Amino acid sequence: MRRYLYLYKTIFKFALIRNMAYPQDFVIWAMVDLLWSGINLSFYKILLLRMPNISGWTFEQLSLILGLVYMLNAFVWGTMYNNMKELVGDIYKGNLDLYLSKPINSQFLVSTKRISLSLIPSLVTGIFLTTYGLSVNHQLTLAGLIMVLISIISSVVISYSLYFISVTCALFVGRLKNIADNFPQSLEIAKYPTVIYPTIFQFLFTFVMPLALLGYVPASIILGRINFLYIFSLPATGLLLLFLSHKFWSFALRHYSSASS
Amino acid sequence: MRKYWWYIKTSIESSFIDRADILLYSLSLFTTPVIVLAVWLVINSGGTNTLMGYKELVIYFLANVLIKAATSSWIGKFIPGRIRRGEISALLLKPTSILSSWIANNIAEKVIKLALLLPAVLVTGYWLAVGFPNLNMGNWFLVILTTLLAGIIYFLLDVTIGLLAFWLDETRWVQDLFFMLESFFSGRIIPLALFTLFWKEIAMFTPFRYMLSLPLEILLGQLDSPRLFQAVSMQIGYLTLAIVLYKTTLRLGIRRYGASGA
Repeated sequence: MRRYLYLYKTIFKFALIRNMAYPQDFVIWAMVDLLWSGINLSFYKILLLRMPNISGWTFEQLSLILGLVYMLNAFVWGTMYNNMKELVGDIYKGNLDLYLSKPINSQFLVSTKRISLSLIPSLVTGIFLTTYGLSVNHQLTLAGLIMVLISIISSVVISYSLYFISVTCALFVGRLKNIADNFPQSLEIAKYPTVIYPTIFQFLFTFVMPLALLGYVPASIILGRINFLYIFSLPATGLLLLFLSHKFWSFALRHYSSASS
Repeated sequence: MRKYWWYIKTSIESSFIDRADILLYSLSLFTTPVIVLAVWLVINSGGTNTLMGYKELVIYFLANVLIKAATSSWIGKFIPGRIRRGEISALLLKPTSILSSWIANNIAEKVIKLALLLPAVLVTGYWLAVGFPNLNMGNWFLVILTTLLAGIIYFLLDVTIGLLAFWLDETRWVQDLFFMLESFFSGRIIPLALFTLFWKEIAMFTPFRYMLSLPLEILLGQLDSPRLFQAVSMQIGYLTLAIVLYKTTLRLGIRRYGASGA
């Protein structure tokens, strides 16, 4: 474990140097990201001009869901997207062998190579929205903050696992160039209270593809709409999915035929 | 013409190699409008949205899926790599336009995507109990025509952004910025009819309205004759501008191009 933490620290340091080598690039991407945040907030504002709440969720309560999903988005786009995109390309081109032959866990290696820091505005927007949501709903307490922390860590692990499982499917099909774009798009579902969807989808988004656990369920727990003990279901789901993603990766690798075989 | 038909035929055949990929991509084209539709239907059930009713919203977002699939373009993100690797030289030597194979690829993938999306849209429309829009032949013709023009504008602007790689090391941020503005001002997530007056006025003067929203507005009968004439004229204006922009960028870009062997 210590070895992997050390490795990740080194990769992070290297990513920081690489990001800072192109400062204009970093600034431009940060601005684009900030504009995206503005557009998303405008969408909520336009929606709520027509109605004071969405399925019983006011703007202040919705901002908590949005804040949690925004923080998660920063991790998904900043630490996962480029790795998943590259992994799909490596599978297709047969470059995966390079990682499989290294003396460290291949799942760790393919998942951590690239880190982008240009998503910092998303993180800042997420922190701002979450803090706003907590304060106007009188939940800016130590307990509230701890629950936010548990939610974020859990949702990063859940998202990573779901994302990795989906991308691993490329090992069976080979040519799935766009699969890395699908999971980040599905996070759109998590931005709204799950109750707005038809019952069958509410079930699917909670138990099959648990996108509800990324924003709606944590926000409901923090706001006291659901018993706070449910907060423990989040890390439990995260660990279970992480374990499944690893098992699926090992299983899928048996089907990998590389470029030369 | 025969050359183009050959290009399209081979593009359709090669698109079938990536059939699983196209299926997934088509699914993602379906997801966002349907999620946003769910949100708008909740708002609508509160009875506070008097600008668009249930049937209008469902038709808008389902047609949005098809028209978006018919108008979108993705070649722009592949052009910079081809310029940097010098692969564009081979295209410049061909007796057909540099656009030929890109147009063929665009049409071929759209045919497949539409074939996949159409049943999904029809089933969802049937499930949500909405019939077909009540339009006369003239308006159906205008929907098809403006969709076609929207597709050409989108394609040319996308290619033009890709061609910026003649000058820029990184064009992805320009594409992302374009995509972001397009998502907002084209009516993809919010129908322009539901915009506040300020944003609506801005949207009317951006090219993005004419890349998706216009055919949808005609489909829903939201435009009277003078406004329809004005909107189609604006679309033709933007089409002309897109052609000029593309031609100028290509001409100046090639003059600057310095790949190995070029």
